[in-house]
Amino acid sequence: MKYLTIALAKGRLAELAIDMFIDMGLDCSEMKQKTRKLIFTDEKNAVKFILVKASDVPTYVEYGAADIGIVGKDTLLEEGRNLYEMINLGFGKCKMAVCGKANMRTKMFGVNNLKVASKYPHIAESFFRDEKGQTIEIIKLNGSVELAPLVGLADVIVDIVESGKTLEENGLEVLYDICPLSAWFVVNRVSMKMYTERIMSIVEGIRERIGNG
Amino acid sequence: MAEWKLHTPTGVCDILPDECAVKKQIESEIWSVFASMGYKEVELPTFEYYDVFTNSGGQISQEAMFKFFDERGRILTLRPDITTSIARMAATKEDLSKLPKRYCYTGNVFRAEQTQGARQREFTQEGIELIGAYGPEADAEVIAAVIEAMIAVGIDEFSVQIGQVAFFNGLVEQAGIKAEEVERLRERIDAKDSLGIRALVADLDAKDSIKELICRLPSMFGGAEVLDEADVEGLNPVSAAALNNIRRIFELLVLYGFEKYIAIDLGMLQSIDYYTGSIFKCYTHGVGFPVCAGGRYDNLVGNFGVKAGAVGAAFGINRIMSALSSKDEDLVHQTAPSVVFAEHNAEGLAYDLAYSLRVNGCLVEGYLGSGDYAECESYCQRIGAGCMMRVYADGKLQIKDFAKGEITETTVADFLGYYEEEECGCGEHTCGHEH
Repeated sequence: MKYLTIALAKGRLAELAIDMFIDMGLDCSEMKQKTRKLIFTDEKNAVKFILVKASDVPTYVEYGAADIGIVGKDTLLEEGRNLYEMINLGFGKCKMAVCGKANMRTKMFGVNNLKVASKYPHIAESFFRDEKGQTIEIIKLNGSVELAPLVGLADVIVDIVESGKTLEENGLEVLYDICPLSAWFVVNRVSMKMYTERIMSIVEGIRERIGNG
Repeated sequence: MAEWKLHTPTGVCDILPDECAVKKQIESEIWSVFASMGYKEVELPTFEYYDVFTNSGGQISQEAMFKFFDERGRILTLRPDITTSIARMAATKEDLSKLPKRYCYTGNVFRAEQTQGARQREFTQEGIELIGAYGPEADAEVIAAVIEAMIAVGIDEFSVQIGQVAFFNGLVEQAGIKAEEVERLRERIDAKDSLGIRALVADLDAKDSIKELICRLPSMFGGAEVLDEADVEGLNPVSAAALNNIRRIFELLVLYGFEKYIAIDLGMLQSIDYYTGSIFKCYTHGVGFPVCAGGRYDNLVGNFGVKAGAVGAAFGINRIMSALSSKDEDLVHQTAPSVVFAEHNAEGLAYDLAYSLRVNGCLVEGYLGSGDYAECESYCQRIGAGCMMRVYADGKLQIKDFAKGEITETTVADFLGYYEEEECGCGEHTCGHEH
């Protein structure tokens, strides 16, 4: 039997996914130990698990290097890959939002050439362009995005908001919710067709556990 | 500044001899299948006026095309697709009062894709177009050609998924979904995102059976039972006709003996916008993308002035190559060449010998090095030659067969059997007749 490969986004999502797979009878307990290994095999079920950077999960899956991926909706939206987005797993819940200083709340949709800093330039651009019809200037950052409005680099930021604590501590707030986020189960289009039964049995197993369609 | 002259631009590549041999073999195997079914080969320009391709949408939208200008400022584009060019050609150059027309082609297409790696910006498509035949038999013929071609290139595990765009279009029309919402819905169905679909469909003022059917589309794939599942109460005429059409195509392919290669996927919608009926994609192991795609496009030819429906399919040759290379087999049996070595003053005779063997189908190389016999021999071993033929000025010929390790002494004339050629009849072997 050919191996099915499942790509997990390193970090908390992987931990939650591992618990789910163990619960379903797949053997990936080795992944819970502290190790630098990136690839784990469950010989009995012919499944391989690989650990990759979150933003790379859709790439692995789209190219078929992994048949299945567990990844946040934020990454899916940002990467815009051609995949089957099969199940909303419900864990890792947070939201994508426009944040900034309180005084921007009323002003931001009227500013000509609004400066927006984000780790998610595609999401930010398509939100302002497609939903608000606004042309903006994107400033791509790789971390500590909250700094941008404080030092005058940008007018607002587009970022993931979980508890809102970081925002609060830096004197910023959520100005507009873009969309809710959580972990998704995604499948390569070819794998879905070539291993329909095996993949669908995993899909059914997950659906039973989380109870949605 | 990097030395750009040493590199090829992003998305294009050289195809080196070993790979090229595989590629040409695949192309000729597919071509043989198409030709044997009556498809006539055509060649089309590499670039056309941009207007030919406007409004094609999907994978060949405006931003996916390479554009430039001619001397009068008109926009030209490197063809992103060959089907559209064939539709233009057929409508403007061919006599479409005599139908059907069957065309096949092999050519490179160009897309300014943003992604890297497997998505090349220049790649080879080989395909067929069947113009002026409307029945499900025509769609089935094209899908059968795809299946035959897959088998011919040596791939036996593959799946052709068949969908029907008109079925979805009928549902959308009936549910009264606004044009701008349709695109969102299409995208969500194509991504098999059932939650996203539910959210879009929830507030619609439509029959529950139809809403429920739209929500179930992502999971409507498999065998013929899917078609029964889709046949719910209250389908409008467009959807009902589409369902009958895909059912008949499926039945025909089963009758042709292809059941194990085909499956239905009513949730397959992602494609180029010109498709109007059946659509299909062929998947296999080792490539994360479809290796072949096609469908029915009944309005495209009409864009160029003559109404005619059509159905076609195109293989991505580069993807077929990836699928085959993942099988770890020797794909092309390379023939070992013979090497001809001319001694002093035997150049003419050696060429004559090489020519005679070549016209009889042998692969013969002339030795180009400046070295002597021994150097030629080591050259032969290096390239894996089958034998070396050493020609002397007096007509003597020494053949060294590397496979058998034998040396044969003869003459060029004996070897070629000159004297048996009666039509020469000049009585002497120096006649220099042309052969």
